[in-house]
Amino acid sequence: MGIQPNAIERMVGTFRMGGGLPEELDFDSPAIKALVASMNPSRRKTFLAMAKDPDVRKISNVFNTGLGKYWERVVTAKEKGRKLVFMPFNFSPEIFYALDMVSVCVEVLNTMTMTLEEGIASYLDLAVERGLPDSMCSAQRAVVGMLEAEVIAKPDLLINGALGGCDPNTKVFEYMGEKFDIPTLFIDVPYYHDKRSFEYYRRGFKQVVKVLEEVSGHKLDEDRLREVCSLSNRAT
Amino acid sequence: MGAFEELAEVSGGLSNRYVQGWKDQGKKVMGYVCTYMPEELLFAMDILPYRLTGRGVADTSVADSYLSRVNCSFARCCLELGLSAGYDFLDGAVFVNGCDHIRRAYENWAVHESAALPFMYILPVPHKITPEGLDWFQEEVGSFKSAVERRFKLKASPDKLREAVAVYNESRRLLKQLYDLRAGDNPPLTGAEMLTIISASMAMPRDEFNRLLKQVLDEVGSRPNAGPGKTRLLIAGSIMDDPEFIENVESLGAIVVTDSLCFGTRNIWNLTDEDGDPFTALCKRYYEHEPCPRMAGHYRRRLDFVKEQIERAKAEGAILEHIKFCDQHGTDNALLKKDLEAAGIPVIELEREYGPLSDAGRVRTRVQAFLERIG
Repeated sequence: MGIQPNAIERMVGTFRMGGGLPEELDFDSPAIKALVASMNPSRRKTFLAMAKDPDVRKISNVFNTGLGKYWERVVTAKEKGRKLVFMPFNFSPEIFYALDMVSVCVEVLNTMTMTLEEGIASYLDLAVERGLPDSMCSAQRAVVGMLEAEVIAKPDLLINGALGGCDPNTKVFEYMGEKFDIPTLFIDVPYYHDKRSFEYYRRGFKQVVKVLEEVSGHKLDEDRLREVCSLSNRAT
Repeated sequence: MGAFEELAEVSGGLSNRYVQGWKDQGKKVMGYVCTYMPEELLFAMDILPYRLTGRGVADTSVADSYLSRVNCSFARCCLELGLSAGYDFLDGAVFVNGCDHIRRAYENWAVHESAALPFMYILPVPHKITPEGLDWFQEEVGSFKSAVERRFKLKASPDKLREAVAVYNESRRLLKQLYDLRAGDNPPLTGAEMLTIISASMAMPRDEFNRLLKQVLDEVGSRPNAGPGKTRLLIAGSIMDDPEFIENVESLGAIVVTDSLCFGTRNIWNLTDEDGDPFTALCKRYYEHEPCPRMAGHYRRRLDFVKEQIERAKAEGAILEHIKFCDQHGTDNALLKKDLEAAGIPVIELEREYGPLSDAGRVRTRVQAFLERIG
């Protein structure tokens, strides 16, 4: 199956289904057998991994329901007046929750293409076909492919909050910003890990927060940030 | 031997008679790897800054056992020389956190006690150009200066630094004169010859280089046009110190009249302010010079610089090259290709391996087709 529109909406649909797995499932029944046979190989493996064992199935329901809600928040961000931000895995999502913005970790979205009928390969290939070097890390490349194919909406903002983490991570944000005309912010992470470096990083972070306040239309409330951090710690 | 031949001899190998002559005077030689390392600082201490490359390496079997298969061939070649005593004429080496690959080369070289040089240092450069970043860079260069002064018991006094800045500024002005000549209708030098000269500038004392460069400027005045009827090209991208690569391209009916390379314009276009405190001016010059793709958020400046070079030298097309696994130049080149072609400038993107004439046949075929396209 080729590239299809509305990728994130389809992810929501998949996770909704994956969150409603019945307690009893007979994998020997003709109906389930036919369903499993109709899936593409990567989906089939994922489905079986989360559905075959009854105990895992219970946990999968919770996990998939949560993911469905999260991606629905992404899909409905615009209509709810929230700004959508793409960020790398090595940055803080807490700041966006505190500012009532919706953040998407590019590497996670990249992985989520595995839930789509067409899978990840077509997006990885398209990104290269349209210019990206084939040696670029695949952890972000499918997102570039989805933006090229226009199967996901452009975010309002890109933030690379960890410059220097690695070359592909650093460059892919600048690439997406330039190629798809998306405002892009950067925070530098120094080479060292000491107090001086932390201060430098903190100052860069604070400058970005000022821009985020303007973009989101919300002033950062420290109590709200504490609450979000506390929830994040609990989840961790 | 003419001045050009003398410079060609310098850039043709690793150590050379100027390096040897410097050492014979009991003075130190320090390798460095990137255009963000202020050469003047070392020169002011009577230390010869020597640009590290992988020149002449034909086999990277030692480096391959420490680096992964996705490390670029330039980093491999540098490490190979480091681990196999190719750079044993150096008293130290300073790297920059320029990219993932060169950081790995530094770490692997530094960690091998038997191969490491007496002084190994990494100079961290911020990835953004901001006032805070400049402060940070200045502190880092200050720490580096102190470390070198302590290790070698030398001093970079403000007066010596001022003198060094003047020498390097003169060098950049003279090199720019060569670029001016190449930008004219009758370029007296090929691109390969220019790269030979630039390579030499970073492998010998800069004042001696300036003396020879002035002679070259005199000599080339009487030369015939090196590129009549040839297609004028710009070359931009990853580190390039192989005149043979350019020669290969030029043998197909092209002449490289300008570039955007760290062995080229990006290294010489900006001068250091000679008024005021020389250390501050030096840091500012190095931090804010034409940015490498490692500096995030400055793609537009890089694009404008390439366009400016193309216009200035009346280039009819651009070769955008990157060494395999160099994601910084690879992604920048993809953007440059899109934007240059939109501006009506024909472009060819070439992925290559580092090293003289590696993959020469494939490059020839592709460049030939490109030249036919330009017409």
